[in-house]
Amino acid sequence: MINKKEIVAMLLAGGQGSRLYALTQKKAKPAVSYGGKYKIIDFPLSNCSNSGIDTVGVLTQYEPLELNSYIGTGGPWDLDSLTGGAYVLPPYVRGETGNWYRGTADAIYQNINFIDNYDPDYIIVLSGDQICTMDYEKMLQYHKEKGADCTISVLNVTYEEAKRFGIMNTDDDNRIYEFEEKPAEPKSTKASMGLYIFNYKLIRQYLIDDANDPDSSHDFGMNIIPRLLEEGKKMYAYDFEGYWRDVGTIDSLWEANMELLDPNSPVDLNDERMKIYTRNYALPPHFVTKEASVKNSILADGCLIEGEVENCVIHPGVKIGKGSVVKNSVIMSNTVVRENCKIDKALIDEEVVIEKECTVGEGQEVTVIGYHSVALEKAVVEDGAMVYPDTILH
Amino acid sequence: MNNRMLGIINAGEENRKLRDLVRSRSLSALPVGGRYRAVDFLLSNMVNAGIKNIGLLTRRNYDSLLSHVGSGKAYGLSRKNDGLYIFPPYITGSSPTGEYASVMDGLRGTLNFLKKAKEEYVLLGRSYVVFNADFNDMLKKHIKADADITVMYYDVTGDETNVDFDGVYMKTDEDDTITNMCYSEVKHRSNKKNMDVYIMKRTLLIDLIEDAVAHNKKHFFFDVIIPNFDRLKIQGYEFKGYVGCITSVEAYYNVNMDLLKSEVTEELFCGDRPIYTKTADGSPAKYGSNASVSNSLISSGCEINGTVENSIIFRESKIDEGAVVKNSIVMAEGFIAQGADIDHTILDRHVKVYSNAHLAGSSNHPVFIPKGASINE
Repeated sequence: MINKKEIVAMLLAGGQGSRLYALTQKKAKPAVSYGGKYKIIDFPLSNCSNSGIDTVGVLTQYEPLELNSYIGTGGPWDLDSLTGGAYVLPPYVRGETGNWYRGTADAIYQNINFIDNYDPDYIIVLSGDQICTMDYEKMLQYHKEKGADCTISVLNVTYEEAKRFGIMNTDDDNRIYEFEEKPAEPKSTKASMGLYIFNYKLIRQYLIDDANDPDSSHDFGMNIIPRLLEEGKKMYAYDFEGYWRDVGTIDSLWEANMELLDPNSPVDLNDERMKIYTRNYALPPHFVTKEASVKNSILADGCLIEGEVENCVIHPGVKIGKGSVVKNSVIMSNTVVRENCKIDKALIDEEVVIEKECTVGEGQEVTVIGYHSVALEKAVVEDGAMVYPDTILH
Repeated sequence: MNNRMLGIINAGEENRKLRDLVRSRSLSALPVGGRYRAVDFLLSNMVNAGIKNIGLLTRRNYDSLLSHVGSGKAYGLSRKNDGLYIFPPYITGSSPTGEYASVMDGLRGTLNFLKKAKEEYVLLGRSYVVFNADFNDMLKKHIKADADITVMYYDVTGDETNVDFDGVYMKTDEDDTITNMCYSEVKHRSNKKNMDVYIMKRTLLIDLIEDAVAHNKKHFFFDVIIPNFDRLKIQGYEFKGYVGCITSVEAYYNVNMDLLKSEVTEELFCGDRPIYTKTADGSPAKYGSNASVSNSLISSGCEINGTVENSIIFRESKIDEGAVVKNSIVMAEGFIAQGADIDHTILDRHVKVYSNAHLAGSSNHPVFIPKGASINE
C-alpha cells in the first residue's frame, strides 16, 4: 500500500561536529544542547511540524544512541500522527553488502526504499546541525511557482564570509547558473545552507547514478548540485528568511547562546507561529532562593539557584550552590555547581559536578567541560581549557 | 507494574470556600505550584504506583480539566489497553437526574467500567490534596491487615497550612484499625484526618454503589461508610509526608506558599516518583539585567524584569522592570506593569495589572483577582 505524501523531509543528523571537540565525543552534533532546553535537532524537527510536513526520516550514523532515544516516534514535535512520523534511519546491511553513509547524497540514496513508500512529489533535505527557524512550506510554494527541479535555500552573507561558503551565482530571476565552492573572489553573496528541495522523480535517478559512480564523493554540494547544473536543470535560489546561526565551533555555539540574552535578540523562541518543541521532562518550575541573584539570564525548569547567575543560559535540573558566581556561561542539564565556585565564560556539558571552591575559566576564552566530568574541591580549570568527558579535575 | 489495582478519581467535588477560584474550572483543574493542576498529584501518584487503568469522574466546569488531562498522554495513560477513562455526567442514559446528583450517583456512572475491569482492588480518591504518596505501600498494608477498606489519613497536629478543619476525623487502635470516625467542622479531639483516599476490593465497591443506588444514598462517607462501619473492617493508613489540602482560598494560598519551602519541593518533585503534567512547550524563563528574584518559583516562558519575592509565577507571565511582586501567586500569562505592585495577591490566569496599581492582602485574606481581569490605577 502506498501512503502518498506531497513532500517527505530527510534530515541529515549524522554529523560528528568534530569542531565541538569535548561536546561531541559522546553524541552527534544534532544532539548538542542549546538555548536553555533545546537540542540543535529540535529546530529542523519543529520547523517540519510547523510547516505541515509530517513525515521525517532522520539519518543518523555517528554516536546515534542519544538521538535515537531522544527522537523516538517524534511525539514531542507532534510528528507521531496516523500516517506520518519521525523515523530514525541508521545505515543497515542489505543483501551481502552494506555501507556506512558515504556522504550526504549516499545517505539519501540508501533510503530510497523508505522514500518510495510515500511516493512523494518532492523531498526536502535538511541539515540537523544548524540553528534555523524557517517555514519550509513557503519554500515549497516558491519551488512550485518557479517550476524548479531543485531549490536551494541561500543565506545572504557578507562579501568576506562568502569566501568560506558554497556560493550560488544567480540571474535576476534567482535562477542559479553557477556554483562556486569557497570562491577567492565571490560574484555573489548567496551562500548555500545545505537545505534543498528536489523533485523526487528527478533526484531519485541522480542519486542512483551517483551511488554507482566510483569517483564521486557522494556529496550534494560537491557532486549532485554541480551535475544538475551541468545538465541545465532548473535550479533556483530561495532567499532565506528567519533566524539562522552556525553552531559548528565552540565560539559560535557560545555566541549563539549569548545572543539569546540580548534584549534585542532577533529570535523569539516563544513565538507562537514558529514554536520550537523539545522533549520535556517532569520537572517543577525552577527555584531561586533568598540568597540568590539572577540577572540577564535564561533559566529552565527544575533548576535550583542559590548563588549568583549573570549572563547565563541554564538548562533543566541544574543546581548552583550558595556563594557561587557563574557568569557568561552555558550550563547544560543536570550539572551541579556546589558552593563558592567561580565560573566565567564556560560551556559545561550535562551531568558535570563542580565541587566547592572551584574556579573555571577567567572570562577570556571559552572554557569547555565535557559530559560527566568532575572537578574536585578547589580545582582550577584554566581559561580556555578543553576538558573531555569523564575527566576528573584536581 | 500494578495489575492489581485500578484508580477512580472523583473530580466532581464542590467546595464553595474556594469561591471564584472554581467559578470557571473544577477544583481538580486549579493551577498549583507554577505549572501543575491539582489533579496532577493524585493522578501521578496512581501512575507511579503502576496503576494503568484510571477512571476520572467529572461533574461541572470540566472544560479546563479535560483540556489539561486530554487523552492522558502526559501521564503515560494514552494506551491501547486501559488508560484514562473520563466519566462526564450524562454518560449513561439511565440517570434520572442528568447531571450527577451526588457522589454516589456519579460513581454509578462507573459501574460498567468497574464490572469490566480485571483488577482486584480499587483506589478511590479526590483531587484536592497536594501530596506524593506510595500507593503500593498502602495496598500492601491493606492486604496484610486483611481489611475491607483502608483509609489514608494524616496527623494534623501543628498543621498550619490546611486551615480548614472540617472533615472526617478518626481514632485508631494500635494496629491502625479505625475504631471511630466522625465528621467535624472544627478542629477535632482526634488529630487523624481523612484524606479521602480509599483502597478496597473492586467487588466491594460495586456492591456499595449498587446498594447506594437502590436506596437512593448520596454521600460516600455518611450514607455508605458510616452505616457499614460495624460490618466492615476499616483500616487506617497514616501518610507521613507533606499534605496540602486545597479547601478554601486561604488554604490554596498557603499550599502554594508551602512549595517555596525547599523541603516540601524536594519531597514532592525531586524523589523517584515524579509529578507529571501537561507541557505547554514554553521557552525557558528569561531574566532581564535589572531583575531581582528571591525565594520564588518561576515557570517557563516567563519574562522577569522587575522584583519578585516569595512568589509563584506561572508560565508565560511578564513582570516589567519596576514592578514589584511579593508573597503572591501569578497564574499563567499574567502581566504586571512598571510601577505596579502586588502583595499577598492571587492573580488568576490572564490578569493584567497596569502601571501604578497597588494590590495588597494578607496571608489570611489574600486579594483575589479573577481570570482575565485588568487592574488599572
